[in-house]
Amino acid sequence: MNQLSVRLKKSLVAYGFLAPAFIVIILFTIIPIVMALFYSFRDWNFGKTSTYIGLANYQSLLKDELFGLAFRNTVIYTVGVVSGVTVISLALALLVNTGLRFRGLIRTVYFLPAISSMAIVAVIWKVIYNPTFGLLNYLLGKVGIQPQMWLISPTTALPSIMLMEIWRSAGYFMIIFLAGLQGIPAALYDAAAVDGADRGKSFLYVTLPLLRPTILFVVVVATIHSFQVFDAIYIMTGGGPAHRTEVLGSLIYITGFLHFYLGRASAIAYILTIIIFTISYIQRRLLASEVEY
Amino acid sequence: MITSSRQVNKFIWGRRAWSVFRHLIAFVVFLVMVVPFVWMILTAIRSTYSPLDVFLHPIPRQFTLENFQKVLSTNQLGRALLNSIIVSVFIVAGNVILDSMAGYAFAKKEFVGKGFLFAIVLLIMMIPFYVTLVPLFTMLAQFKWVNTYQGIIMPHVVSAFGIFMMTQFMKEIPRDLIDAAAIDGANEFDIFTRVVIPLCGPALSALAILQFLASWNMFMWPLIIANSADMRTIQVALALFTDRYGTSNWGLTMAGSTVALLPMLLIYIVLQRRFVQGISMTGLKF
Repeated sequence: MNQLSVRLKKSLVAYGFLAPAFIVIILFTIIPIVMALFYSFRDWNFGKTSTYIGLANYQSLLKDELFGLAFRNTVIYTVGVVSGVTVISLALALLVNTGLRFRGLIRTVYFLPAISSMAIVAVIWKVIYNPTFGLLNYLLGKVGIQPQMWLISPTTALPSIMLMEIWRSAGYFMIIFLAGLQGIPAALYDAAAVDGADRGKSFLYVTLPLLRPTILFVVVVATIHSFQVFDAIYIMTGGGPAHRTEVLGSLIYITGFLHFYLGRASAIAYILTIIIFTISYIQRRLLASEVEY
Repeated sequence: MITSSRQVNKFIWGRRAWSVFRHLIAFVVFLVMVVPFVWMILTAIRSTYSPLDVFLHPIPRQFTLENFQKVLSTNQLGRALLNSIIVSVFIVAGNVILDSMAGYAFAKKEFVGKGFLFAIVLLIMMIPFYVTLVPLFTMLAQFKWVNTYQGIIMPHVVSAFGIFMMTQFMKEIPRDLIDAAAIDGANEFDIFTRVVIPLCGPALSALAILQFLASWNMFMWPLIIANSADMRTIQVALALFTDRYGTSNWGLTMAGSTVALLPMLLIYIVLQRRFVQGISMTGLKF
């Protein structure tokens, strides 16, 4: 037997272990990804017409006002949620990391929203935001603040959903930050203390630099996640009022599965994919260039 | 440097004030995180016209499980609950078996095309599910899989992230153990099930928990592929249910949410440590 056939024979066992997973991946992921690209070049209204139109879907999307609005809302949502959740979850991790009574119980409860589905969270928060019967207006009323229209008003609808998402995912990222904090050698803090660093300085010069890879990870995971927001929007506002909470995810759903413009929906999905792919790629490059301490 | 007793006092008081402050903040956040859930449950177990009733009359005149009975019997949330359990069990089982098999091949086998296939796994990890949505739907419609369990389940029984995680974990299993079993005459299947898998406890439980969280809470795909009343998962059913009763019956809405939360809550309470380990692992293994 020549060398190649020996290698191939050894490979067969490995292929056996890989086959089931790869059949699923090829059938339900790779083929659809390729098909979506072809779809995006077609003017296809489900059950009716389907014609090849080249890049026309992309061109018309770039000029489309609603797409622009959805894109803007997605970016605003992402920037708000990512910055909010990174700062808050890091603060929570520092808070519960050491020297706190009932630490176990507190961590358990902080993580509770993160295990709840968006459907549950959205339903509860819809009631919290209710102008007449909601908890938030009730509490604000106690301190003399006028009732707000939260999800109904165009100015507060999107920020309200962002606030809810920060509340939901803070506990999740707190856990990741805690793991990162545990990786920092205690000796470094002792050394900083000997050098006369106070709490603020040891945070700035020891914790933050050493936590950089974790912060980067959290920022990127949260960004990718936020860019794909759908559940919360669908349940709480349906994209309203007047498309002020329309995002790329809800636009794909409406275009593809309510209006059945499958070609156009695929084009939006591809634009979303390119954005997310770019972010993931930059993350990998940044993480790969990390210096080990 | 601390020299006088006054400075020592100041130092101790400073620390104590800081500690009190930290506990205070921790308690306020605790309330922010837990009150919505407590409120949900307390509203679910009373018959009321306003959800603020819980705050106006903290002790209800009478408890009632009527809302739960209604939710489970007449509104098909019971059926939806069952659907979700079936879907989650199959997705978790599929991932645990298939992801770990593929992970084993990538971690411990040499084969032609390894680099290429692993690159595909990494690539798929970065691609959002959205892009497959439309073709997947038209494809499964041709399979006649709309409104079926296999339609909800099959696209999710393998995850690229799961394969990646298992690969990373299995790389750390010592070669010697596998070689020793091979010398003893164990076949490939035995080596995998009797040697490799028992060493993967922490990774497998992390994978199972992450997949359970993802499949139980999955929303968009079941919404699209399973739109008939008897095939809805609990999350989709809850969202539609709330649309219908939202402002007319708070007790029912909250009872529905409670029912949707309970299975996950029970598992979380029992397996809490493993949840935390699993999540930490995703952050560190990347």
